[in-house]
Amino acid sequence: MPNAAGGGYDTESRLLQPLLARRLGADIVIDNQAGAGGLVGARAIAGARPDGATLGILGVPGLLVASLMGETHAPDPVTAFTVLGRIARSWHVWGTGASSPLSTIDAVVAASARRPLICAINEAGSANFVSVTATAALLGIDVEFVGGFAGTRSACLAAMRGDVDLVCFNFETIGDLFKAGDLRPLLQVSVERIAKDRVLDDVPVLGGADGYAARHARSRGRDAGATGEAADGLAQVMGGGRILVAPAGLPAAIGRCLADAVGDVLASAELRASTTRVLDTAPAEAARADVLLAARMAPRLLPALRAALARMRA
Amino acid sequence: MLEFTLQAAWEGLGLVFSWPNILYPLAGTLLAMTVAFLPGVSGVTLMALAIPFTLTWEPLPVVLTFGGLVGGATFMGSITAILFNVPGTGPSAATLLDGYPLAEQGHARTAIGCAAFSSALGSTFGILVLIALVPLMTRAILAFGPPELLLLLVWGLSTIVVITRGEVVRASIATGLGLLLALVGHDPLTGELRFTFGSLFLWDGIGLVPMMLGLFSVAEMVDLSVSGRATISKMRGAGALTGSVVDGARAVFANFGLFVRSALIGTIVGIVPGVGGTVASFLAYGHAVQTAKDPERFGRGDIRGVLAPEAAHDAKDGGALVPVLAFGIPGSDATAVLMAALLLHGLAPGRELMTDKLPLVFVLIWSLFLSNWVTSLVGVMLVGPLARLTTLRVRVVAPLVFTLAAVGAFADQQRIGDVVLAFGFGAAGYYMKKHGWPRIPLVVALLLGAGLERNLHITSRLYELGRIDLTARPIVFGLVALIALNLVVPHVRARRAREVRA
Repeated sequence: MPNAAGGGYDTESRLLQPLLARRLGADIVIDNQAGAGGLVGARAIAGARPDGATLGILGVPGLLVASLMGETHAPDPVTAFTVLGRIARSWHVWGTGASSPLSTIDAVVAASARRPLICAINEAGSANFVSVTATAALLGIDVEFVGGFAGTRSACLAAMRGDVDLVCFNFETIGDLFKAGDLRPLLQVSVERIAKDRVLDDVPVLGGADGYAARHARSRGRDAGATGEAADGLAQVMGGGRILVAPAGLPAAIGRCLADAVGDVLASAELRASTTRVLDTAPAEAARADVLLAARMAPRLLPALRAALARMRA
Repeated sequence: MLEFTLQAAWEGLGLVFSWPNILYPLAGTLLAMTVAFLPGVSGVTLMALAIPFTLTWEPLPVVLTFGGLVGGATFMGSITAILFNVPGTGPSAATLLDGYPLAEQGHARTAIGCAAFSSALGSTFGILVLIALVPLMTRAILAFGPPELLLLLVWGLSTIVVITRGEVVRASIATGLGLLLALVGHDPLTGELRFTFGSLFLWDGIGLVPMMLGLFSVAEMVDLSVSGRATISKMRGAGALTGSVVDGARAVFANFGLFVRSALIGTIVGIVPGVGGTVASFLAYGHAVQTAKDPERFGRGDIRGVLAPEAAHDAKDGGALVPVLAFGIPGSDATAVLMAALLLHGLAPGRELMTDKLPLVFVLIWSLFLSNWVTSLVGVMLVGPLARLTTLRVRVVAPLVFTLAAVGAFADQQRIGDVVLAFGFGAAGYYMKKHGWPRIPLVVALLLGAGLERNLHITSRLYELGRIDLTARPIVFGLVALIALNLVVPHVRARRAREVRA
C-alpha cells in the first residue's frame, strides 16, 4: 500500500481486505509503505517476487505524470506490473468559487482574452497541474498557477474566498463542495458525463465527438476532430484510475486465479454494500486495456506541460 | 440558528450518555489507551485498523467509537513526556519542557495531576467554544487565508525565539537551522527535489517524530547515564516522592487566567486549517513564559509550563473539528483517519453534516469530551504506580527509553532510516544541551517551516497577481501587532529591569 494508514487508497484496501481474504482463503496483511508521493510503495510492489504473495494498489495518473515529469524512480504502469483489476476511477472537474463572476466555462474562456486566469494547485508536477495545462492549451486559455496549497481542500478554500479563479480536482474529492453550493462546477474533464449528480446537469464535457473542446475548436475555425481526440486522450490519462496489481512476470496460472478472485470481489454486492462511495470497477482485461490506452496517450500531454513549466520557471 | 444548535447539542448529549450507547466511547477510549502503552502501535494505526471492523455498523456506533479512539489516542504522550522525557506525540513535546524537570525533582504526581486536570478542563473549554461557533464555522475558516496563516506562523516562531531568554542569538541560529532542515525533500511548489542526495528516504523531508525523540529522549538519557545519577527523580524509593494530584489540580485554579488564555490559544489554532496541536502547545507554552513575572523559572520545573500546553492541546480538539466537519480539512493524522471512517459511512463533511446531521456531529463532540475526561481520570488513578517509575534505576530506564525511542521512530512511518535519524539527533541534542543551545526553536522551526514556505509563496504570488486586498483583511493587522509586541516587549522589560537595578 503506497499510502499511510488512513490516507490515500488505504481505506479502499481495507474495504477489499476482508472480502478478498475470504474469496482466496488467504490471510492478507496490509503493509503501508508511504513516501515520495506513492513512489516508494509502487517501487516496492514492482520489485517484489512475482509469486502472487505481493499485491498492491496504484494510481495510474500519478505514475504516468511522474514519468512525464522526468522522474526516473517511477515504475512504468504497463511493463512493471500485472494488472488484476480496477477498483475506482475518478475524473477531474474544473470549479470556481460560488460568488465568482466566472459562472460558466464560456465566461472563463472570454475572460481569458482580457487577463490570465489564476488557478490554485498543490504543486507543479501533480496530475491536476498537468490536467489544467493540457486543457488550457486545448482551449487556448491563459492560466497563471499559484502552487503550494497544502491539499485539495486548502486550494478549494482559496477559490471560495475569491483569492483564485479556478481549481481542478477529482469530482469524488470535491463533489460535496459543489453540492453544498460552495463551489460551482465549470467543466468535466472526461469523455462523457461523470456522474448522475444533479450539480453536473448543465456542465459541459471536454471530450467526446461533440465535446466542449471540439465545439470550441470548430468555432475558432480549427481542426475539431484533432482537438476532440486530444481531449479524449487527456481524459483517458487522468481517468486511469486506481488499479490492483501484482509485480510483472507473474506465472500465468497464478495470474488467472488472482484476476478471477479480484474480479469476483470487485463485482460483488458485498463490496457495494460496504461503502456509499461510487466505485467504478473493472475486471483485469478491461482494466489492462485502459491502462495501456492511458500510457499511450500520456506523451501527447508533454508539449503543453513543457510550455507551462518553462513559463513558471521564467 | 443558536437554538437549533443547542437543540442538536442536547440531542447529541442524550445519545452519548444513554445505555448502551455510552459503552462505545468508553470501550474506544480504553482500547486506545491500552494500545498507547504498546510501543510501535500509534493511536492512528489503531483507528485505521478499526475501519474494516466497523464497516457493517450503523453510523451512530461508529461515531461514538471513533470519538473515543481520537480522545484516548493522545493519553500516554504527556505521561511519558513527564516521566521519561519521551514525547509520545508531537503536542506533548511542549509538556516535557517543565514536566520532566518536575519528575526529576520528585514531583511527578503533581505534574501528571496538573496535566490530567488541565487537559480535561481544556477540552471542555474547547467544546463549549465549538458549540458557540457552529453557526459561524464557515466564516471563521474563510477568515484565515494564506496571508493570515503566514503571519500566524511568523508569530509562532517569534514567540519561541523570544521565550528562550538570554539566548536570543543562539535561538535565532537554531531557528534558522530548523528552517533549513525543513527545506529538505520535495519542493511544495514546483515538485523539485532539494537536498535529497538521490535518496527516496529524504523525499518527504526530515520527520518531526524521529527528530523530537532524538533531541529530547535520547539526548536526555545519554546525559542521565553520563551524570552518574542513580534515578530520574534523584530519589531512591517511592517514599521520598513529594507532590500530589491535588497539588496539580490546585495549580490549575491558582493560575486560572493562564489556563483560560492557553485554552483559547488552543481553540483558535485548532480552527485554523492545517495547523496542528503541536503548534497549539508550543504557542501556549510561549505565552505562559512571556506573560509570567518570573520567566526564568520556566524550563526548570514550573507547573505553569505543564498547565499551559496541556490546556491548549486538549482545547484544540474541539476547534480542530471545525475544519474537518465543515470542509473536510483534517488538522492531524487522527482527524484524517476519522474523516475516512465517516466518509465510508456516507457522512461527508460539509453543509449537510453541519445542518441535517448536526446531532450526529454532537455525538462525536460529546464522545470526545467523555473520552478526554475518562483518560484524565484513569491517568490520575494510575498516578501512584506511574510516579514510582521515576525511582527506577537509570541503568534500567536508559536502555528502556532507547528502545522506546527506536521503536517510536520506526513506528511513525515504518522506515529504519528514521531510527538512525533519531540517534543522530540524539547526538546533536546531547551536544546542544551540554553547550547551552536551545533545542525547542529547532523543533518548532522544522515543524512550521513547510507551512511558512507554502504560505509565503502563495501570499507573495497572490499579491503579485493583485489578488490580495490588505484593507479587507483585519486579522493581518492584528497578527502584525502581536509580532511587533513579541519583538518590542522583551527590550522594554530588559530596560526597565536595568533601570530598577540602577
